[in-house]
Amino acid sequence: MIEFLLLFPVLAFPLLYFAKKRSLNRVMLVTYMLGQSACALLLANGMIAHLSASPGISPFFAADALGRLFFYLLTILFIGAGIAGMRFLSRQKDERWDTYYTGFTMLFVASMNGVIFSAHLGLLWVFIEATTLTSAVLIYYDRTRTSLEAAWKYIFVCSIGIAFAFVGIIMLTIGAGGKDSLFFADLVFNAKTFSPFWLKMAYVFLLTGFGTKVGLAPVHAWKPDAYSEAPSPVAVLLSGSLANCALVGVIRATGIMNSAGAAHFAASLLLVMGVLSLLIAAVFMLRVRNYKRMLAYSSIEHMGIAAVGLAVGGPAAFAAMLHLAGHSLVKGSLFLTASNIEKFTGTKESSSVRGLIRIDRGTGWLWIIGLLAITAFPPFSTFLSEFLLLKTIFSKGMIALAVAILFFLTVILFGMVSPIFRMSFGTPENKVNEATRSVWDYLPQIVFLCAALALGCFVPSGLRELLQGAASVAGM
Amino acid sequence: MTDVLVILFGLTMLYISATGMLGSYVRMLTAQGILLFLIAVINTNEFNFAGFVFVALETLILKAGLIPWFLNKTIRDNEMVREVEPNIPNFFSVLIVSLIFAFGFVLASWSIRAGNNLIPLQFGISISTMITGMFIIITRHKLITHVMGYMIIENGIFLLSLSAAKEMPVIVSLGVSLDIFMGVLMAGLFISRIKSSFEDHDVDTLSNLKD
Repeated sequence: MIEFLLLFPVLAFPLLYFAKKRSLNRVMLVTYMLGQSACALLLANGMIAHLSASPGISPFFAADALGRLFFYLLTILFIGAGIAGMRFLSRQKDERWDTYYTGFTMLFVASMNGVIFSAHLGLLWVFIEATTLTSAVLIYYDRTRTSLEAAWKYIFVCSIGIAFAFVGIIMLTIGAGGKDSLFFADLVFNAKTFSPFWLKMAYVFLLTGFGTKVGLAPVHAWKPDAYSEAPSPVAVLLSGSLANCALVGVIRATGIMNSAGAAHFAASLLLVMGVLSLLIAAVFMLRVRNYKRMLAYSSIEHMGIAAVGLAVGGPAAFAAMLHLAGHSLVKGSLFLTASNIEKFTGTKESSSVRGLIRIDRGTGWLWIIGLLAITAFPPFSTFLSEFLLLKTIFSKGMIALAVAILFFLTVILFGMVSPIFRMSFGTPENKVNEATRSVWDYLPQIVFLCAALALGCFVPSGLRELLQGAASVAGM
Repeated sequence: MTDVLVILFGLTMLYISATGMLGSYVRMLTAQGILLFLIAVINTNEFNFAGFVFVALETLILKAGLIPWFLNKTIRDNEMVREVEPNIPNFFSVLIVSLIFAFGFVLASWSIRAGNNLIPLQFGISISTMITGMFIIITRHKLITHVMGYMIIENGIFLLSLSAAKEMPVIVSLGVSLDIFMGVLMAGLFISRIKSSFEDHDVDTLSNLKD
């Protein structure tokens, strides 16, 4: 199964590159989407024992609870982003870049699949490098000066982050004291025998490095630029899946720390980065004038909440996993709606958009409902996860932390509600682009929001076990 | 024997901090590549011949060959010759890098006393090289110098992986992929002719996107 997920885009890319035909691009993309969905269904039904057929590759990939959870999320988001991407590309004229978009999207999803299923720390690191390279091309899609600037910042900051993460891996091997295996199972098993000093140093570097890709403050600087300049279907994958994949690295590293008995150290670092992310998001949300940058800061906020949840541990770690699932779905729907807004208004400035509901009723209402979902209104699942997180924090007696989080969330709520309401209501002022509408422009986001709503009302027991299993990988 | 090579490696850092000519930066990167190749070959822990050849060839071809060639080509195509006066005058630059260099020696002696299973001098110099690379990125203006600062960080990381190689030889091969990453990046920039990324040579022009 993993061979298909990884090799299909690699083999398809030269084909697409030399043919440069739109129809072939569509066919390949849909094939990969269907293939990934089939893999997800097979995995969910427990019909796959080993991810790989060949014994040489088999030890390097494993599908534990964390991997399965993020794989299902990635598949769902990929279907939505793929549909929106095809709608987006049908409005573009450049056929060469149509091919690049399709090819690199498939490679991007393939490298994320690699990150999710890696059972080896070194392999995980290589796949995260691959995600940086493939998504940088996608961020540059518009080929304007600003998108070049965004792509450059993205590559540079993430490359330095990756280099830091590698230093962390080296320090882990220094502290390993002769047990030279970078497989996660072995690392967790041997962690108690590692030298504590090197383990902690390694964790600092790993957290900084992988945290750069997650977008935790203070290494978040690339996020607003990249999310605002990338085409919105790409931003769906960036915000919903890439952050999760990088978080896989953080969670597995935390699991190693936990089994070595250094959980407190890891928790304090995660807590600092999480609260700092909330602070940065709150501060910048009030100043931001571009609605896609606003969504980027919202991503930073939610990753901060997930980090805090992992740090606090126990039911809060479960809440963090639930939060990641809900956030991926809701942020995906918001970016898909943003794609529609860009289509109709041709601008990314919040102040230039007015009266969305009158321009296009579906888009306007989806924008508002998405806002409600992302700011954690009941009965969406984001409310459930944030409530559970705060309940755990209160029950552990960390009142100051809870008050701080609530304060930041309130500021962020204010910062998001004003522009979004102003964008949705009122009368349209500026010229509106005439654009075709189709059910596919609305269906993915409606499905995502309904899924988030359903998750908030009822978490099926299978899913609950999956979330619990994912939380236990961090072991906090 | 490798101690001499490692010290020479550290000296290239001092030269980079002092110079203002972009061609000199690239020459020092080439020198670092060759020194790393020699260190890797002499101190090899690879018992597998194919792995050894892979690491040796990669170091020489990528670090001392391809990447400096890409950088030189970019410099010539864009007719850049010298770095503008950096944020900190060159004098203080040399001073600070000397202090970082000295800190590397302090780290090396700490490593001996702490009794880790490392090659002490390589460990110390590698950490100081990484810090110097970051310093170069922070204090220089041109984008191409930022790329070279990143290459310096990578060279430092490679040296670190060599010093830890007794523990796990495969880590060196992994570090190699960091170079391949950089090489692929530069090849990509070249092939799609995004030379304009270095056209507005100054990093100060990269401030259009902000809140």
